[in-house]
Amino acid sequence: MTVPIGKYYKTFRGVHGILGGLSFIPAVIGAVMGDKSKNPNYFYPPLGDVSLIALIGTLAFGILSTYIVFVYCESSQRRLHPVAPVVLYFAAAVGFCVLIGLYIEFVKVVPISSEKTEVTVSTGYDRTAFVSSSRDLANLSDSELLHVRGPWEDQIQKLWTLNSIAVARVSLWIFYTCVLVCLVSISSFGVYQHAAASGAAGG
Amino acid sequence: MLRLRVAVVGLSWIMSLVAAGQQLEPRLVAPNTVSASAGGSERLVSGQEFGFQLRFDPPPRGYGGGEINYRFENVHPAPKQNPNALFVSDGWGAESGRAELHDGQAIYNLSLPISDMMSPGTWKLVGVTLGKAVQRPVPISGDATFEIRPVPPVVIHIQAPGSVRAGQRFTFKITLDEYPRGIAPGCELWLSGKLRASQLTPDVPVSAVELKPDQHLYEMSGSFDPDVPLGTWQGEVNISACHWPPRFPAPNSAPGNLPAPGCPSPNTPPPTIQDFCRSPQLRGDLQLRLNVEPAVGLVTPTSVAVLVNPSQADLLRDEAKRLKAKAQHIRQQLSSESVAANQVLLRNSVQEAMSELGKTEDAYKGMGGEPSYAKAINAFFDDIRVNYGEAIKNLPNDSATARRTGPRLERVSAALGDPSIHLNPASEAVLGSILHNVKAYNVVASAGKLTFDLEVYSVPEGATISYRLLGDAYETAPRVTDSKIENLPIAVWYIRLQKTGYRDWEGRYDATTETERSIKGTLRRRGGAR
Repeated sequence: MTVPIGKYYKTFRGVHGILGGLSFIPAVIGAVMGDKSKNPNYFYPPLGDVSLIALIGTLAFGILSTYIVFVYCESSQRRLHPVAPVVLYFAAAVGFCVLIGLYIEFVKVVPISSEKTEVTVSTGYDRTAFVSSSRDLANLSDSELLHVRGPWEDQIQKLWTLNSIAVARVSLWIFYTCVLVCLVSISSFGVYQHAAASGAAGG
Repeated sequence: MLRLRVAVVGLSWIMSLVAAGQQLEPRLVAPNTVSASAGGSERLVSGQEFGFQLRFDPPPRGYGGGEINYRFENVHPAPKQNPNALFVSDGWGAESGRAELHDGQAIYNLSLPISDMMSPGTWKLVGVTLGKAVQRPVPISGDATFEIRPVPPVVIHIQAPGSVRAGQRFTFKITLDEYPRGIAPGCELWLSGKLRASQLTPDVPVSAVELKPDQHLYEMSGSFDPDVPLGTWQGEVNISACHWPPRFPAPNSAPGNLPAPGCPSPNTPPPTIQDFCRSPQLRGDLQLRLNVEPAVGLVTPTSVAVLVNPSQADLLRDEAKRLKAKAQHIRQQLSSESVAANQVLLRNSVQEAMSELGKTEDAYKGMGGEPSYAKAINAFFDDIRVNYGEAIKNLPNDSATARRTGPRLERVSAALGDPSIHLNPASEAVLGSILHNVKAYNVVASAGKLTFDLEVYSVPEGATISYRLLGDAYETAPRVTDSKIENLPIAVWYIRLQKTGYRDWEGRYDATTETERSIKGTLRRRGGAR
């Protein structure tokens, strides 16, 4: 017996679905926070000018993962390997650890006490010739550079090479999205199981 | 007998030769003294003439032409009417004249025209010289004096509306006790004024009104832009006198181009000396005071959508810098060129700027962006283009638009840094359109950032301001102290103040921590003394 897709998605209204939905909350808060440059954004990695597109991508992958789980479960005749959620769980955990490492390395929070706010930005790992050749800037830490030059996108692109910024931001996005997809997939497995079980009990 | 006749004829001939010789080379008789006496009224006003007589003793002879020169001086000047005026509005303290010298003529009846350029006070004949090749002084006996009385003061009373909403018109009612007597024929009296909120805000002019002998009540009005700073605005009413239209156009004014109606600022010299009119002192209520309240329906944006990527921001920032330098270069050229050359320069400059605007627009669009923003981007560049179009329209006849563009033009002068150079309205409109372009680029380039305006003060004022981020070279601000640098992104800024005769001053301003958005530098004189 297969689970109709409509029933599958209706089941998300239950406990399993709510657990899966929780995974989206940080990303949604990140989207709702608004002007990325004027508010600290702890819920979604700061990705500069591509933040909006990246956020849409993350949400799309997260939502699509529910469908992927559904297709996977249907194709495997509802006999879900019990290791799958565990693997996803550990993948999410590892991904989250990597994400923390990336945050420490590339994400900086610059306090602007005069405006009673903080600006969260991501940097790169390789500084430009402008910084390394400047007597004033070469010895400053990343946070100090952002403080004296301003935590603004044009300055970031002047202080770090575009390649290193791109690598850092893509890494942040991949691991953030992976963690979210893993968490959503785990809850989607639960939803599917629940839908299938209730279908069997009803049929 | 024949011998006697020959001798008489010969002697007569010799005598006539001697007489003729004496006529060809007459003896030079220089007068020892000249006595002066006045022939008419001793209290005079502008437009009248002072008649006086010079009597030489002995009469000058043997000059064969030449001239008599005389000089009057204000020996007891009346108290200055406007001690604060930059221009010597009380006029000159000496005046001279000349007359043709006739051999053998002892008495000369002369007259000195009284003009507004002659300062009030007691005037006396202090010197007489005569001669043809060389003027030699003649001692004066007697007295030729007259008095020029000051123009009596004008007493006014102001009825102010108290408060006005930004974006609306306001009207002051001015009551005049009496039209002043003693105004030179052809001179008009004008009341003018302007309001100011602080040293850092542009002035808001109040319309000038002409005083009429049979009118006592006047209305002076103006309007505030909707987004002016709120609070108390104050200023003062000024009075000035001038010929309108000018009897003698300024040497560098184009034919047919008249300045805006009304006298120039009381501190501004007239276009020509002949146009000078002495203005009376103003007394009574001179203070204009208004409380500006928020405009009705004014919606101030609280956020700005980020339409600009970093490459586009860099493009606009670079263009803004280039345009700012261009505006300053044009202004320098304008101050030294002729009117005809200025017209050509201004027209070419606007056309160049419009052409560059098109290129910048293409480059901007080529750097990507959301398709949904295309309409907004087109509107942005079109708005700048319209501004240039208006500036070009102003060029053929600047006087027609002088009033309409007035308030903005004063800001242009301030923005270009040197208020001592007065540009005509067309020039200011062109420079204003370029500066508008600069500001628009800067505003958009800084979108998405937290920005602030930094007020820079110095002691003494008038220092050149430069600013930079750590690692960059200094960039010069368009205005000198005290003034404001607008739209600086929040960061740590280094400010340098420079003034001739003083040591450079450098300060650090950390905009991330400082809440007071101002910085003040005290310059020390070179050599150690403060």
